[in-house]
Order: sequence, then C-alpha cells, then structure tokens
Amino acid sequence: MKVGVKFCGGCNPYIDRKKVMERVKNMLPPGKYKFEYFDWDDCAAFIAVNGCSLACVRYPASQKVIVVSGFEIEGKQYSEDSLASAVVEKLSALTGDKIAP
Amino acid sequence: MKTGQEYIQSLKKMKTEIYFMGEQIENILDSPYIRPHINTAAVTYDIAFEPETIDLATAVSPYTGKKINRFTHIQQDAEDMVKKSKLLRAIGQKTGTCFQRCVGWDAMNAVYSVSYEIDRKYGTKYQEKVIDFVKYIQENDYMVVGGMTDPKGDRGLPPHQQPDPDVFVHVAERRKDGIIVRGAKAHQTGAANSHEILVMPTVAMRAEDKDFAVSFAAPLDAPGVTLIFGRQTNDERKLGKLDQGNPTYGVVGGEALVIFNNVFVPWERVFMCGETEFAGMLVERFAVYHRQNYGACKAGVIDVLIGASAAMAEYNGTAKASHIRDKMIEMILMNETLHASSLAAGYESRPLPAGNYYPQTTYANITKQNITRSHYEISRLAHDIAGGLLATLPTEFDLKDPVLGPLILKYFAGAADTNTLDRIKLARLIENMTGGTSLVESMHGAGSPQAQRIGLLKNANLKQFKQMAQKICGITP
Ligand SMILES: Cc1cc2nc3c(=O)[nH]c(=O)nc-3n(C[C@H](O)[C@H](O)[C@H](O)COP(=O)(O)OP(=O)(O)OC[C@H]3O[C@@H](n4cnc5c(N)ncnc54)[C@H](O)[C@@H]3O)c2cc1C
Repeated sequence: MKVGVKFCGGCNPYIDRKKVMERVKNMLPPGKYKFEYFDWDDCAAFIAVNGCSLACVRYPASQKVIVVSGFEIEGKQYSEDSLASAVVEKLSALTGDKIAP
Repeated sequence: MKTGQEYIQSLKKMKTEIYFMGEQIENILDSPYIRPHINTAAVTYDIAFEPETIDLATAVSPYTGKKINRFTHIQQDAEDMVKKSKLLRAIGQKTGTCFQRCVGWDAMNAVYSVSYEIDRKYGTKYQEKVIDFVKYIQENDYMVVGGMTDPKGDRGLPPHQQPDPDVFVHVAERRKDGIIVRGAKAHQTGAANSHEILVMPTVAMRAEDKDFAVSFAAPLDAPGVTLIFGRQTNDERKLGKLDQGNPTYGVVGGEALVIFNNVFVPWERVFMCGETEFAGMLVERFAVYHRQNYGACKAGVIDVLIGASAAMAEYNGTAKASHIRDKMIEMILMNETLHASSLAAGYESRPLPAGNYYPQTTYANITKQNITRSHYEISRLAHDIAGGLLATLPTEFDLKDPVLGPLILKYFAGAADTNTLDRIKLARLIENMTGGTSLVESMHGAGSPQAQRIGLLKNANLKQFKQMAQKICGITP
C-alpha cells in the first residue's frame, strides 16, 4: 500500500520528525506499506510531518491526510514518544487496514 | 541525480588548475584547505535523497520531465521560490556554513530570463542555448559557479576606460566557431570544487563597453582557466581539527580568483555578446535572486550560532540571567526577521517575461540589507554571551600535551556538571562562525549594502506616499 509522506522544511522543529516516521515504519507490518516521498499520485493515505504547530506542509486536496504538527495531531496533544502510535492508529482508520500498534 | 559521494568522485575527473600558498594543488580532495568546502557542497547532493528533504531538495525538470536536484532547477512558480528559501535554511542548519551551490542556481535563472528578453529584441537564439546548458547541468547534476564579480580596477571608471581592460572579463576575439575571452572573476564561491562557471557582466554598461557585455559558460578546467584559492582567517587551523570549530564543513564557501587567459568559448555556450543595454538587467536579476537567499542559508547558519550561544550560556552558568535571555531574544528576533523577508520574497514572487519566477524585489533587497547588519550584531551578541575565551583559548596541540592539557581543562572549566572539552569546542565553533571571513560574506556577497539601498529607493513609491500624506493633512496639489 502506497503512503505519501511529506516533511516540512524543519526551520523550527519541536519534534524529531525523522525519528517519529522511523518509529511509524517500525510499527507497520514489514513489506505491506511503501512510503513515497515524491510521487504522491494514488496514495492510500498521506502523512504531513510538520515540526511545529504552524504546519506549513501542503498536501494534495484529494488525499486522506494525517497532519502531524509538532506535538499535535488533528487538534489532540501527544508526547513525542506517543506520536508514532497515534499516526499508526489514524493510518489504520484511514485505510481500513487492521494494524496492531 | 548524484549522491554526495558521486559528486566527490566526479571532481576527480576535473583537471582544474588551482594554486594556493604558492603551490599548485594537484588533488583538491586531499587538500585540507579545500576539503571542508567539498564536504559542504556534497550535502547539497545528499539532501536530495533524504526522505525528510526530498520534497524540498528535488524538482521535476520542465525540459526532461525527470526528477532533478533543485539546485539545477528553473523556478516555475511561487512554491518553488518558497521551497528554495526553506531548503537553504535546512542545509544551513546541517552545515553551519555556506554550501556554495545557490550562486550558480541563481545565475542560471537570471541568464535564462535575460536571454529571452535579448532574443525578443534582436531575434537572437540565446535562450535555446541557455536551455541546452541547463539540461546538461540537470542531466549530470553538476555544480555551477555564479561568476558575476569582476576585479573592476578603478570603481569610478566604466570597463572600456580602465587602463587595463582585463579587470573586466571581455571578448578578446570573435571567431567563426566562438569567442576568446580574457579577464577574471573575483571571490568565486565554490570555484575549486565546481564543474562549470556561468559568467555574467558585473555592472550596467553603455555602447562603448560592447566587448565587456558578455555572458557564457565554461568548464572550470577549460584550457586557459586558472584559479588562485583565497586565504581564510582559519587556514592554519585546517591543519588540526578542534580549533577549526566546524572541522567537517569549514567557514564560508572557499572563494577563488578565476582567471580567463584567452579562453575559447564555443558559440553554443555564449548567452550574451555585445548587447550592452541588457548588462544592467542581468546584474539586477542575478542580484535579486541571490539576495533572497541571505535570509535562508544564513538563517540556518545563524540557528546553529544561536544554539551554540545558548549552550555556551549553560556551560558558563549564565543561562538564566535576564540579560542573557534578552540577548537570545534579540538574536532570534533578527534571525526570524531575516527568514520572514526571504519567505515573503518567495511568496510574493512573480513570473518574468521568460516565464520563470522572480523574487519580490524589495523584500529580497531588505533581506540582504538586513543581513549586512544583523549577522554582525548577532555575532556581537554571541561574543558577549560566550566570553573572552573565544579570543584567548590555548591551541588544541597544548590541550593534547600530558602536562598542559589537564591544566587547560582545569582553568577553562565552566559550570559544575559541564564538560570542559565540550565548552572549548563550542567556543571554537562560535569563534570561527563569527570571524572575519564569515562576516564579510554577509556584507558583500550579492552586492555591497549600497547596492540594495539604491534598489530600495528605486522601487519605493514615494510619489504615492507623498500624496497619501498630503491628502490626510489637507494639502491640495
Ligand atoms: C565571501 C564572498 C563570496 C562571494 N561570492 C561570490 C560569487 O560566488 N560570485 C560572484 O560573482 N561574486 C561573489 N562575491 C563578490 C561580491 O558580490 C562582491 O564582493 C560585491 O559585489 C562587492 O564588490 P567588491 O568586493 O569589488 O567591492 P567594491 O565594489 O569595491 O565595494 C567596496 C565599497 O565601495 C563602494 N563602491 C564600489 N563601487 C562604487 C562606485 N562606483 N561608486 C561609489 N561607491 C562604490 C561599495 O558600495 C562599497 O562600499 C563574493 C564576495 C564575498 C566576500
């Protein structure tokens, strides 16, 4: 399953964006998901990874999106350590795929 | 696209004639004076492969439809101009110094736009050739030097009146197959470790300056091209490690005097030849593109400096003092103002007649004007916060001495529970980031301060402002 990932420029990062996404990757069943960082056509979901609450990453309007903005995902606060499992949960909801976090 | 390692390997094939400290450098990869600049330029390649920066650091070529390194891209829309600013800040944060590659990028965009306008007036075919050159750079992922600044001799005289015409690059001979050029370009960032140079005129010109109104591209190892690498304040430090402060990436970009001694340039690589009325336009185009960058790359570099100052305050045990916190605020204020105007120049960019996007001129000028002051002021605050050890620390060689080393560590210790060697490293980083060579780039790169002030006044709508004032206070014109 193709999942689009786009990072912000990182001018003011409160979280380690790379680490969060590495954790997400490690929580997913191996080989099932393919993260795509450039060609975002036909993605099952899209993760916008912003370092701060400004959330400047633009994403295709047609996509099912998960927006990480610093410690926040869609208005809810998380600790840095729990961001990844929240992303996986949302991914599971968006794709209808049962992923055990 | 090339990786950093592939870029470094590609330099091995270059036969650039380059001199430093009275000797020819045969292998730049092994030269401790040049290597840090190579490492920094390599980051502009590697960053195009890192997931978190792929979007910023790559683009799709409008000519080949292929994915390319953004440093070779012709700006297609305002988003490209914003991404440029964010990309440069991101690399500045990684390297803490100038990574050189934006100059040639801006030069390509400037020449692309002006060649179109020359063609429109004269029916020439320059833009086709520029596009061929751009495609060549994109396909090979080459690094290009932006060659604008001539040595200029007497600044009060136009090129054709200089006692020695070679102080401005000029056409010495026109041949059927190309031109012979002579002269030099000064302060050329990244020239030692680039593949090509894109030459542009450096001043506006009149009809008599016809031979000096020339733009062309040439490989840096073309016969007749000689480089003399510039001295830096930290040269000797490069023979050690710790005292460099930033041992991997060095200080500024590594500049060189690039001399053209009767260099042959085929017509395919000539993009302006005698169209004097377009020389000023090209100077302005390049300068405005380049001025946007100073609130981007330097914002990233200054992020590192602010971080080093904040850490230093902790090592010194002063981090909680109100005046130190206030100084940190001042640094942040200046730096974010720089980045804000760079972003604004991108968000408000507009297409040129050639179709490529161009920064909002006033915001780009403001960005560059502010860095000529803010970088010095921020450095002054960093010196203030860090303390006098920046200027007086013993050398790394004394630190290694079994008797002197422990004494140095004893007497340069800071707050309890802090590591003295780390304190020394931070001090060296701050020292090297705020020394002469680093700051002069912010003063003169992309033009001396007066050049931006002229631009600001030229574009200010004083007539309208006067009318606004007159209307409010009841003056009828
Ligand atoms: C670290 C560094 C990197 C650089 N990298 C590049 C590069 O990659 N490519 C490139 O092309 N250039 C590069 N430059 C050159 C830079 O653009 C020039 O330094 C700048 O344009 C100023 O030119 P100059 O050094 O000849 O100084 P000058 O032009 O001599 O300026 C010195 C002073 O004289 C004033 N002045 C100059 N001419 C006149 C005049 N006619 N009337 C009145 N006042 C005048 C100026 O305003 C300034 O105050 C770099 C410079 C530095 C320091």
